[in-house]
Amino acid sequence: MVNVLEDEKDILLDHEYDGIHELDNFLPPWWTMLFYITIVFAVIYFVGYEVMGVFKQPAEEYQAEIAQYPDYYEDETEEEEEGDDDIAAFLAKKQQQQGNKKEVVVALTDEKSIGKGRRLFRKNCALCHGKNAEGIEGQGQGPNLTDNYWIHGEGKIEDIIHTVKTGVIEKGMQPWGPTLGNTKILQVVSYIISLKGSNPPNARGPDGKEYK
Amino acid sequence: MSVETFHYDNKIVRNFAFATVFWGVVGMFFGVLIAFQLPLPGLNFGEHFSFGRLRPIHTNAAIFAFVGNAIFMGIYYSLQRLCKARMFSDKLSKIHFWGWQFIIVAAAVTLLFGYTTSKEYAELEWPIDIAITFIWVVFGINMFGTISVRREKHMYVAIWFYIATFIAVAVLHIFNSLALPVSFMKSYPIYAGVQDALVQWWYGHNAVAFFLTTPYLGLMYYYLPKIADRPVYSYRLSIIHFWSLVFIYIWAGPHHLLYSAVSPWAQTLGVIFSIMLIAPSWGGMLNGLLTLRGAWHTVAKNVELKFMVVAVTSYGMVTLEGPLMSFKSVNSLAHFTDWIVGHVHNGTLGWNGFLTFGIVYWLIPRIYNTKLYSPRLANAHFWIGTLGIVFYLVAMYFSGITQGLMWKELDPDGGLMHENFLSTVKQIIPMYYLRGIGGLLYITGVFLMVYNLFKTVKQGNLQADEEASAPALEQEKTKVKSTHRFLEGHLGLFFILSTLAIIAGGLIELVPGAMNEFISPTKPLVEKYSPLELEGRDIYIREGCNNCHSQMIRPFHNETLRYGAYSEAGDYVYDRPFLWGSKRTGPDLHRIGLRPRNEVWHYDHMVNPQKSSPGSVMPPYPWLATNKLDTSTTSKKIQVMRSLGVPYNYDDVRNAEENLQKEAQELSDILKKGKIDCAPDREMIALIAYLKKLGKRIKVKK
Ligand code: HEC
Ligand code: HEC
Repeated sequence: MVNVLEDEKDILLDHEYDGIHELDNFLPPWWTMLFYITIVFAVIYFVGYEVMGVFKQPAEEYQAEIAQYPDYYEDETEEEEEGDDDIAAFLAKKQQQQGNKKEVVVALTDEKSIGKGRRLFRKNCALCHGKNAEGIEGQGQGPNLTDNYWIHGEGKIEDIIHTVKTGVIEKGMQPWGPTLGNTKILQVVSYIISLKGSNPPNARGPDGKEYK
Repeated sequence: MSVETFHYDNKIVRNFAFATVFWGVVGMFFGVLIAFQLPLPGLNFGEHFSFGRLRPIHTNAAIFAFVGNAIFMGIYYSLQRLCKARMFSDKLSKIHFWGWQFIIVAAAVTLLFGYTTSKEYAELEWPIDIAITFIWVVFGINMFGTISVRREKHMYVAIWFYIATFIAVAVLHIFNSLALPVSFMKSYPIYAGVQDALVQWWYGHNAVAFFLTTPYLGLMYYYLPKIADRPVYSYRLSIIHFWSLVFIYIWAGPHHLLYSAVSPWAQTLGVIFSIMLIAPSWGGMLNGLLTLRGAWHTVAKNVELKFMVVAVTSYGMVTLEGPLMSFKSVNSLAHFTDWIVGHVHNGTLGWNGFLTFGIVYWLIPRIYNTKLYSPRLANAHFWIGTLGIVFYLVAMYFSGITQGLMWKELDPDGGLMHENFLSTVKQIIPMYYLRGIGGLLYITGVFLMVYNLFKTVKQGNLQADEEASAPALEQEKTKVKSTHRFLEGHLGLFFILSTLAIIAGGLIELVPGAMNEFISPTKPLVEKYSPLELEGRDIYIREGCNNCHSQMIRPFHNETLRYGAYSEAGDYVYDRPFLWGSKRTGPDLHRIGLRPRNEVWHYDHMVNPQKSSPGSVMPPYPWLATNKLDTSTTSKKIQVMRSLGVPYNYDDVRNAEENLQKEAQELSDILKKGKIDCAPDREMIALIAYLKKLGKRIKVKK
């Protein structure tokens, strides 16, 4: 006979299946309460989202979230870049604009441009060159851009602009000319130049030759 | 009242029991192997044994081979006794058994060779799907036949759960597998993009519900009170929790797709029904644990019960955690991480595994008319297994939460703290080892069980036909005490009502969307796939890249920063099957074509990810660079896509191969510029074409 406790004798149901008996216990009250609470919650949730629309749907949540970071999204509304024209011509034009007598382009140094450059860097380059341009180990990863060692050119602004524009296809860096356009390239390169000698932590070892 | 004598068929129970143990070992072996493949990519032994192909083998073996056979073992034993009748047909039992084993072998072989639909837990291609349908029907006839000839007027609660299982699995399997064949082992689903995702996760979620949960609740209701020799705590609770569970479960599928491109309306339903599932699920746990009221002293001495207590407790934990993970805020952290993997294994290792072990330890000695060879060894199994589960869970929760937090972490600037995905991967490598050790412990316990059962079987004798007797079923009408008692006596009515309860959620969630799609189709945001890209996509599917990579960018600042514009329904209109994935062991690839990775980078990375990304856990795919692309079905593929409604025209079908070659040549030339020599007829070319296409939207002129 099945093992029945003293207080269960009255609620033992009379049927039996292959020796298994069942008791007629009440539903545990807290369990019933839990069930009711979840149902009430569900109704409120549904009405709030789908009927009254007082809770934010994912897309609205997103708009609210990105409103906190306008810097990262202004690009999307910006005018299209001017064409990817020839570098020499572009540099000449810039020189003119900068009223520069000497034969070299000068990096932008104003806060706004550097800020723009940093965001561009973070968005497009950090993936391979690291967050602070410290470089990442590995064949398909980019070298440290803050030290004095350069693989392509001598680390002068024209050199860097040239590398960025044309990319290093065989090493996995795409030409950035078509995607970024000249203005943005100048901004991002100016940012790189501003990092010179910043000695970021976890930097990748030197690549290429040293140019002082 | 005449007493009839008949014989229970124990041989079929024995067969399913042996199959359970055998496939359990196989499934767990693959589990341990893939666990170690992550931190040790060198364990990816070439084309057929790389992670992307083995993971589906592990999941399928664990679910359908191990748990599947265990369900049949448990049902064939208990159903006969609850119905006081032998199984309806010995022949059907045999066909069922051998058919199921054949399907398992076919599944394992085809998956190794890369024949897969990519849909999780429904990876098998159409011929095997048809075989499964056939065997399931055989099982159904055998089960309902047995119930029809029962000598017990009322159906016990275990049988209710068996019936619900049969109905739900049949419906799920058929509707999720609908596809148009391209060739003998390749097909495209009739649903595309968002629809495909909804159907798949309606299936995926309810495979958990009706393959891993309801049959096991049925087993619990038979074996637990039987072993403990205690009456079931509450008959009323059984009724309420059974009906609420089978009704509510079906609705919760979209909680796998929160913040995804499926309509917010479906997401809301997914959330609320998940929350309402807590109580019905806990009803099962309570009825199990409270049945042991006053018998806890026996639990300490009885190893089968110990297994069951842990199993039922795990069940309670998982069914609370699941609804909690359906809260959007929790979900935004947990989804795509290893947390989900931990959640699932709490269920499978704890609930399914331990309940199975408890049953097997009890059942084998019974049908062999002997005692368990060594309860002490079983006890050792219990503790080693429990330790294994603890290791596994600690590792996965830790790693999951770490991943989730690192992906989201922003610096004061509002930019990503960890732009390079790899650094989040390296962080959790120790957890991968720990998880592997947990798995090793668990399988060690299983080996102890194998030895123990082997010895038990040797010392006993199979009682192939066990004699039993019961009075014939009385035909006269007795007064029925309640509506439910009435229902328990009427199989047909019970069948109809449970079918209605089960399909309601599916109908309401899936049909309006499908109708709407029919009336006003989603506007495409992307260009359809070129033949080369389509072939590349099929390689992506074949290699199981979706086992590590998602293609679903959620609308969060951190994800749009990392991966690009968030994904919308229009991005997927041509995706058959959808490839959203469920886990980000690697980064999302939905817009990889726009990310700064050029063709050369992809080539180098695919051939040897560890060289490009030192410390990566991605398997190398060198064979893609040497295998020739099979273009024999290219135009057939385009044609099938066309009949499914993708706007290819007749020329696209006819010139498919030519177009493919032209595009391949161009890509090969690009690689050559990057100093890489890859002939245009290699699989790699197609795959890279696909990767470069991903995420590009149609240009809208302003
Ligand atoms: C896909 C990875 C990747 C991305 C993204 C990337 N780079 Fe590079 N970059 C490289 C690699 C690899 C090299 C090294 C080439 C070599 O070894 O010759 C490199 C080299 C450079 C160099 C030359 C360094 C030297 O020592 O001469 C500069 C400058 C540079 N990258 C700037 C950028 C900028 C600016 C961006 C973003 C707009 C960027 N990179 C994005 C991979 C990348
Ligand atoms: C075991 C899991 C795993 C599998 C399987 C896998 N990957 Fe990866 N994948 C990763 C991880 C981790 C990374 C990130 C580290 C790295 O760059 O290797 C990654 C990175 C990538 C990247 C670079 C993404 C980026 O934005 O940096 C691409 C592209 C990629 N995988 C494609 C594939 C393809 C195609 C397949 C199938 C043939 C595949 N992966 C299979 C884990 C995996």
